[in-house]
Amino acid sequence: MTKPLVSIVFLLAAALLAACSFSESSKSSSTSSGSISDSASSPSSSVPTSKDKQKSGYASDVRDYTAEFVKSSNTSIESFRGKLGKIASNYGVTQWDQDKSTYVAIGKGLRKAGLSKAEYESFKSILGESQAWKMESIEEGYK
Amino acid sequence: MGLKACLAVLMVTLIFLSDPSSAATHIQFVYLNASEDGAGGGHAALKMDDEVFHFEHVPPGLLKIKRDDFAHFRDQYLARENRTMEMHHVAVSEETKILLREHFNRVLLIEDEQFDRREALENDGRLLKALLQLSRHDAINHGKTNRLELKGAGFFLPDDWQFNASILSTQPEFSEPSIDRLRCLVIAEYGNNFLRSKIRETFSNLQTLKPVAYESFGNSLAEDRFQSSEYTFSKQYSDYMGILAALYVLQQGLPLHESLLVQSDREEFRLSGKERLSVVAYRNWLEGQLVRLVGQNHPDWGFALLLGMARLIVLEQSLVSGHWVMLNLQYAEGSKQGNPSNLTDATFKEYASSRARFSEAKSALMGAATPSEWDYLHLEKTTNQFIELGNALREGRAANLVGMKSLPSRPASIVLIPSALTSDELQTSLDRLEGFRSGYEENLTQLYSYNLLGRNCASEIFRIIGLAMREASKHKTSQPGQTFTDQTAEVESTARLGGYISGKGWEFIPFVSSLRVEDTWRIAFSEQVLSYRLQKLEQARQQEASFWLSWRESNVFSSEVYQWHGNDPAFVFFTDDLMLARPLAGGVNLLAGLAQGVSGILTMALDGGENLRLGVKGVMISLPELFFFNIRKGTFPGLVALEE
Repeated sequence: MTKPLVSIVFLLAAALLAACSFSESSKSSSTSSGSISDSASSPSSSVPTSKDKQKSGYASDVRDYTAEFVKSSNTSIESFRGKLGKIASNYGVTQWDQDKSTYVAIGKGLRKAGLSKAEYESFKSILGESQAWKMESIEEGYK
Repeated sequence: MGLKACLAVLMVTLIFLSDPSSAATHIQFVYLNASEDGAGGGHAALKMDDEVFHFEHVPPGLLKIKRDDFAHFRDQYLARENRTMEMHHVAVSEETKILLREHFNRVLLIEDEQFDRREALENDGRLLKALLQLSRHDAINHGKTNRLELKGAGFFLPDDWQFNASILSTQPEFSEPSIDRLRCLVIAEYGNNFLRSKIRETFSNLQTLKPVAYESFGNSLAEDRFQSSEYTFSKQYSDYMGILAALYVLQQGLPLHESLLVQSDREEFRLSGKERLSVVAYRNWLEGQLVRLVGQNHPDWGFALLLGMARLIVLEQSLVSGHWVMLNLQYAEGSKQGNPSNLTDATFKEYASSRARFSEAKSALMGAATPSEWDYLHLEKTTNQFIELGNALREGRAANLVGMKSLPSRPASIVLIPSALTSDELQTSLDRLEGFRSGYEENLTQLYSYNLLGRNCASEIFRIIGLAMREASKHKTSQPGQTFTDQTAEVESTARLGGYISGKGWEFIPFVSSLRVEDTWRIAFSEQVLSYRLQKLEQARQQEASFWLSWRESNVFSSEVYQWHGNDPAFVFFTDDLMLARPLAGGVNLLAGLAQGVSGILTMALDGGENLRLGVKGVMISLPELFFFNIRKGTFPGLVALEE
């Protein structure tokens, strides 16, 4: 009789001790109306408050995402843009598409992905939408 | 310095001297003690420079990685959740730090895409159901189900706004001059009929939009394979709705809701001649950006145009009033009203530093060779903070800075545009989606299931480190046919971190994991950072160490540091700094929890069972106190920033 009881107490104690923090977004989910929303739930990354750190954080997030994206099998340009918009929004930026730093970071991502020259040229043209200033910025980041 | 610490320093020195290419640096293993928010055993994290990687429990039973800026992490756990943190500084080479950062960040990128897809599928399901109801003219669709929460629409449009083609022939009573000016620029660039035809085209796109072929997505998931999430039906629909709302505002020249502005007639906010020039330069630059945005072929610019137009209006108002006017960030998406923090004692210090940040941000905007959204964004935040802190000081209240780090994105609930698809077509798509979703959810659960005793926030850190070590070992060895096992990871980990922790033992309990790290890894030094309340008590004791102070701060009724709020279950005594008297104080807390629970039964009809839920929680977290174990600390949800 005492053995099962001890096991239960032991398991309860372990469960109590091992429980981890809940995500912040999930804490408020009980009050969510379940409505359709165009904004994602709280982002999985929080960003620094200083402007310089934000700029460098944004650039490295764009670089890292680009490096993975170009190696992925699903490479729809709208998915790519959707994610860049989300990264930018996380840093408070909305005019990301006309910001040179975005395309320099994309160039760094292409370098990080270790693409062949032909693959690089192809992605430069797709992601730079064949616009001269965007492709030049990608080139600058790639060098 | 003790003998153990001296030996550790000597060992670290020898290791780095033996490998001249390795520069010494530190990473930190972070342990946070227990809290009432479901973390009875504490929480664990890995800090590298300013980034903290940790794993959180996501209902209904998944574990997901999160990356936080350390300042945010500290504000959340030390301040708002009021928990004490222990940090073990582990001596590693720069290369090891980069290896671990890259590995954890890759896990983040992979999981983000997989969880984004899960969320997009959920949204697709909701949208398809709502469109189906609309197509069947169900009576139920009077509710919120046929609305879309659209970011930025709330700057200009009311909730329940509905678009129909005839709306364009209605002329508003008042037309906003800044929007009129932008409309003229758009017409000059793209022609007279551009706006009307773009609105019609977007409206038609919304009606004829077809759900995607879910079968083509592929359902197999792997924790080490990145697969970008798709441009799903609901994402496309939201994008087109965003464009439609934005173009409607532009066409009609709608004004901004007054309540969204923040301004002050204090002297510090008066525009100087140079500042006025920088406002004009930024406004002109923004107009150019928005004109180009409207001409884009991609459908993802609705929110950017809405926010841009809102900012054009506040820039114009700044010029007219002669004072800085900004969008009010207290209304930013996700911000919570009420519950102002008890930051009063820090408000003077915060006020002084916000004044400096405001001046700096103004100088950056004025000094920039070309205007930049980064500079404006920074000024928008600092102006909001400076005004709120000034108001708080004058009114003798705590500052409410919640939401002030966010992007202004006031959403509105917009009525959906019915689909041209038939009910049968919508139903077929919904059935396909549900079939795909259940398989996807199953795969996700298999991959990321949260297992209290085996796979949690602590064990996952060690598992990912183990994988990174195997990967590093693979790159070093070029022998064909070699297998990479736990032993390989152990050898690599011992070389890089000073030891190996598999994550398969008792270290799944966060406080045990902290002890294991201390005993196993190459620790340069360890430190403890006290929780917000304990820091405040330490400071108070330096001024006045008395029995009265201890008594006053021991309970919620007389405490000046803590103010009870409705989110915490009812309790009487703080037990985190009580040892011997903990069971006795815990007994009183247990009674408080029981009382709240009983009153919760009586008030259930009024509060939907909230009081009862808090009462039960109060009892649960008071029980361990009877056995000398503390979970409850008391939380400070209104705190935004800790004093440095």
